Amino acid sequence: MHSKEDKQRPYKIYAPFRVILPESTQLDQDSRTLKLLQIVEAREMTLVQVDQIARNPLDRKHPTIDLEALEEKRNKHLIPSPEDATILQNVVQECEEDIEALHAKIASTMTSIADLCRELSQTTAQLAQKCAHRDVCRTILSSVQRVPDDVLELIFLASLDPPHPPDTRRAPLQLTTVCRRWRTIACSMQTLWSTLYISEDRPFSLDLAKLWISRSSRLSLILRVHRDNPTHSQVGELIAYLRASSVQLDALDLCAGLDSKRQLLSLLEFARAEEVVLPLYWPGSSDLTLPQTVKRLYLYYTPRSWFTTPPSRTLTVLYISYAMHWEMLHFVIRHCQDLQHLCVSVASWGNRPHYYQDNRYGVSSTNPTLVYLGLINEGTDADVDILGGLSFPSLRVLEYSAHMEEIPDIPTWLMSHTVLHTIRRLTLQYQSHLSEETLYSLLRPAAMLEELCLSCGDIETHQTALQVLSNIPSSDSDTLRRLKRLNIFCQLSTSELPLIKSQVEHLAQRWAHFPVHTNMHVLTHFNLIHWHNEEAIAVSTPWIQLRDAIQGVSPDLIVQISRYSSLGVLSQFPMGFELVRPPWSDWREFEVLTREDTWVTKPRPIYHVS
Amino acid sequence: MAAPATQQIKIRCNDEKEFTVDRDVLERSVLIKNMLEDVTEQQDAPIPLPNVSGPVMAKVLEYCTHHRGEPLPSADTEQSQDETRKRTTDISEWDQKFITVDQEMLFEIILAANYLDIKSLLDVGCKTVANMIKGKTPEEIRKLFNIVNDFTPEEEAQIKKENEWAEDR
Repeated sequence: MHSKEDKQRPYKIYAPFRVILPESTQLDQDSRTLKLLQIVEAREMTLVQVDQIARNPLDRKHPTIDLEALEEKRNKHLIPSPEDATILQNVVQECEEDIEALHAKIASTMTSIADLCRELSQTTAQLAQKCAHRDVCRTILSSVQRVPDDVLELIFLASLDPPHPPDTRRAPLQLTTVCRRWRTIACSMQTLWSTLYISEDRPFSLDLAKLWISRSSRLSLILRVHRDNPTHSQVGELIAYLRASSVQLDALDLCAGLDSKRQLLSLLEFARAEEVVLPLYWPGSSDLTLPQTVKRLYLYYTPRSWFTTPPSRTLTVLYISYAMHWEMLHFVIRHCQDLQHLCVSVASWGNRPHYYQDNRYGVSSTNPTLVYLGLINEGTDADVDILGGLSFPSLRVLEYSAHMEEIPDIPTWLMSHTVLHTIRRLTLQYQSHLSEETLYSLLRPAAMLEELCLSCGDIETHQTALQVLSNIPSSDSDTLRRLKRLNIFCQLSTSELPLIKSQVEHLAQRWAHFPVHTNMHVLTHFNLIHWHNEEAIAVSTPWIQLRDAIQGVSPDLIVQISRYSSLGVLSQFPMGFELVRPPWSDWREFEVLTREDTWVTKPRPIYHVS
Repeated sequence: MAAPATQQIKIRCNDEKEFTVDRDVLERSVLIKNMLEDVTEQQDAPIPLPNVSGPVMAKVLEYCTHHRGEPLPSADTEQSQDETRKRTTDISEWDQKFITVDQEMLFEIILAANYLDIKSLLDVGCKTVANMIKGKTPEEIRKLFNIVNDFTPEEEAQIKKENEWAEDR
């Protein structure tokens, strides 16, 4: 018991109290000790009897012991008073009891933990079993897992479409991370890994090349590097690695900035590529030697000086986007006697009458193997003068893109006397006026024609073409009688669709013996193109995606979209589409360009979709 | 043996469902075309197609009827630039509508096209599935097609390491 005198001591010791409180007294555990002390101080204690707290030693609240005062007392070798000694002994006694109780509690807790661990283990096993059952059922339900491997391969190949440019961050990598079966199939398909696309707008490391090469022994390398950046700095490493590796570089598609062109083109020295694509401007590059292994050569935006070096005699495909002088064309035709596909950009040389007057086309050249001929006009005053004097006895396909604003019938006349009589398929892409006479002139000599494809740049030209086809009199329609297929490609706004559709229906009724196929929404291919340091970057996209993608974007922000073939501008479209929310899901990245003056000059990303 | 275009051919599916179809429609299937060419005498018995059910065959016939008369793909028509163009051309409007079916039916059509050897239909089906795959994460693909991720933790680690460089930076 404490007396008021105790408080005068240099230290305080409060003994634990065991108290039975009146039943009416409700105290929470935290305030119990304080209240007890108050009760003691007030001499209100009635009975010390029950060891309620001892039943739960952890809840027992010991009175505060002033340890500092005790320590001080011990240091002074003071002997505790008998009363204090009793209190301390009581504290020791109770601590011993508590310690014993705590040991018991720890043992009990350990037992509980062991039980819980056992239960956890059992539950985990049950979970695994359930997951296995679920997976078996899901696999049975999974339709895609039922298709045979060869069909899954077709799906994988289609998922890479369009092939240029493949996004190396996604396909085909994503296919290897779905499940074991997909990974096994995807990794074993060399064709999935046969195209390595590297550009500065995508992350690149040498590991990328190594991974691709490990999965394909043959590689088509597409390299687009225009600026000094980390990708640019690794070009040297990549070239060294490729040089040291045993990979066969089947195709090279190289586009580089001014600084790295020479370095990049050193690939040509050791690559035994059969296909070379050079979409780069190379002023004064006549010193460059193309490997003689090249069979397919695509030269975009290259000047004529390239051809001071004769191309390989074994060329089978030649695409040239630069206007070709007729003398050089004659040379190529005679020199490359295995040539099967030839696509050239044609343009007026400025003094066309001079050629006619001098009868410069008197020189005749023939190529017995040419099957495909593409003539793409870049300028509005272009023509196909270069056809003069040429003959291609095996020609089957002619694709002709024309502006024909000035003298529409001269190229037609030339074609009709040179290339039309053997062709099976004729594709005409007219950007402007297509007269009835022109169309007749093209169709009449084409005695073997089976398929006619019409693609016109504007609604009026389309209407004219359809009208002409519908109105050709039966007596003058031998060509149409032989047709097996008519394809009509339109680029239309929604409001124009009904008009063209009704015309097509009329045409189909008029010529019921062959199917008329219309593709109102999807054109063959479009490129968005912009310029970087005088280098061209083309992003290929199907027309429908392009149109959908730009819908919803303010027309003020959209400048000019040019339709490109592999060789040059085919047509340019003003923005007059209905603006609706575009379907972003099919898009990874898209740029809308700004225009300065008359030509697209600077790329300006408006939005990116991921 | 050359047959008139109007000749009617009977086929029987694995659920005993029978169809009577114009020969030129059925000949979109190279399998059936070859079978018909092998038969020298006209037979009344239906051609059994044990791998195709009635509802799926009905869809396949819808496709074949729409595309009847079109030239079948041959080696000559799959060349060079034309090939490139075909590969990059989207599914036509009609085909898109035709192939807008539930996933189960989509794969049944693909399996049937594969079995019957109808290349153009197989292409449409594969392209449709490929379009469903494009732009999706592996987890989204698994969820879409009910595919189980059966990689071990070690394989997962290997894949992660392999694709490390390709993460968006």
